[in-house]
Amino acid sequence: MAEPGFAGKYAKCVGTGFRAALEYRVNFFISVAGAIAPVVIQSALWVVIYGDDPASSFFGFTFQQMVAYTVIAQLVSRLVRTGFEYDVNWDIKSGSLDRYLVKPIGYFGFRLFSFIGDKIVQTIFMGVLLVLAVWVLAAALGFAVSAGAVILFVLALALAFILNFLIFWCVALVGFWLTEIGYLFEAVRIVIIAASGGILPLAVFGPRASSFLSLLPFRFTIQFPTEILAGRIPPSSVLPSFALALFWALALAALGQAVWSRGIRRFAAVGS
Amino acid sequence: MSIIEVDRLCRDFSYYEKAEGLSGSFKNLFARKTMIKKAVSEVSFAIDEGETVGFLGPNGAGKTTTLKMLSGIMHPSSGEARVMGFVPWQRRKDFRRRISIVMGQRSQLWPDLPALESFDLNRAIYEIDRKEYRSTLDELVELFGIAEQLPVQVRRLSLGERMKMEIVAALLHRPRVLFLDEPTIGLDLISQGTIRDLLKTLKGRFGTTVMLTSHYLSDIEDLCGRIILINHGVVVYDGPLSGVNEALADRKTVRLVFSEELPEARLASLSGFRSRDKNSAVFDVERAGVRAFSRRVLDELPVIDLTIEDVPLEEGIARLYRGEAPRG
Repeated sequence: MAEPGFAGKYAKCVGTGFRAALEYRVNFFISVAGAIAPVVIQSALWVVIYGDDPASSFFGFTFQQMVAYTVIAQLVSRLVRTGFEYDVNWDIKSGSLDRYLVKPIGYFGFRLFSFIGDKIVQTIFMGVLLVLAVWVLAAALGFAVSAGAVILFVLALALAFILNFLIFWCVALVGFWLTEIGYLFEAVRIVIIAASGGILPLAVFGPRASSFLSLLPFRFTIQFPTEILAGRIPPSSVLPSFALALFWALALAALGQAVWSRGIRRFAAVGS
Repeated sequence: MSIIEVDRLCRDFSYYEKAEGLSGSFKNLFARKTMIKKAVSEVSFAIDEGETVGFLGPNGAGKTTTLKMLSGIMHPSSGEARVMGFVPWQRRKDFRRRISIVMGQRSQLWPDLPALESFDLNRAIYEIDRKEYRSTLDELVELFGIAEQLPVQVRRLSLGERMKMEIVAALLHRPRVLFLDEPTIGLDLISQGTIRDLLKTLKGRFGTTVMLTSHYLSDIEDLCGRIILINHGVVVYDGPLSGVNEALADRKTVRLVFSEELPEARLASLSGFRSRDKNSAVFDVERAGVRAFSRRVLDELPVIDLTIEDVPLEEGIARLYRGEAPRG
């Protein structure tokens, strides 16, 4: 759709999300600060589990790798975290969705590009934190990151944003049928974070569960970028993994579109 | 040619009836009785380009529902409508670029952004040429006197200021059709008057076709040459505002002031008695009987003042709501 002004319209949405993120930056910093507690608790846990023998390996992770995983996965999970689902839910519930329906703009596009704008700001802050974290990990535990891994990480992160957006877009649209779904969001979020390897690497769940979870889209939102950065993904499976993630993005986009068109018919039918 | 054509538009809502109390809630879990409410029932009318039409009716009459269908937010249950030749609920992009709807109860602006940024977002959304945008905005800012409030977050504006911003936002792309749903609701008298004056000026300058709902008759009297009255989802009157009273011209209101307070029973014994307050009373009298009525009360009661008036507009409209007068 190469009509004039089309790109400008959505670029503007990115700008809006960008400004909103600057407006609510404190919110984001608090969320990052909130990442410290789980990192400390989990690291303490690993200290106990690995005991006196730091060379031992659990679930294919050495102590150093496990701590590095914990720190990076926490940062990534905070970074890809969404919040727009509450806005979508509110728009549906309060009827303010009307204001988008009467304007020549797609609601999905508006939300997606505002989300991207929002994430640009956070990624800049987070990038700094991540560099610091990697530097500390390198100094303390001998954690090493290659330049190639960084480039792949950025790509994987971009895909993680899109996937997480699409997952929560689909969840948010449940609001067309249920009015109170705030709790649903949190419940779904916890399950998804666990299934994404955001708390513990998926290997912890055992080989069968972990290989099953690896096929789902969730892994690509946290564990995949984290492992890419840590250089834990064998080069031969990088491309197939990206392909699978892309497949999920397309599948979720199609699902979202189907749910949206049913939901909007219902919205228009029920009124508000 | 008509810019808005509405043909037997209907809109039903289904809802559930729930018996009182806990047992009712419990029963509801298993067997819910679905009820159907006709919000809009076979509404038909046509509006010409440039017209400003008042859309009146009591709460729940179906006004907002009709406007929502005409602006494409809601699908009808049956019936047809065309706005500028488009079927509104197909929500074609070209349609959405040419209309606007302002709802007094619901903001179209982004509360966290200053109005100016919302306007700029609208510029991008409506793909308005920058130069055109600038000149329209300058014109509206001057007209509305809102230059100082432009950089203020919308959530920090007063209701009156916000309403002006809402209207400006709705006009930036110079829509051919503007739907205004209760634009003065909740505003104080002065702000109501300001919004009204602005809409009047706009009517002259922009030539937009406007459909306006309001509870305040002064809005309608000032702005609309024609009104459509709707009640229980049905059009009960469609015609000029002056016609409302003509339809009721067979009656007059007679006000009496007495030298002393009279018992209500005595006043009520006269036909057409409507109300009393201390030593005054109001009667509704048929036009043909006014002379006889006046003579009789002057003879029988201690009248010190007598005035004969047309039925007030509010009263006439209330009667039309009740379906007392014939369709216009």
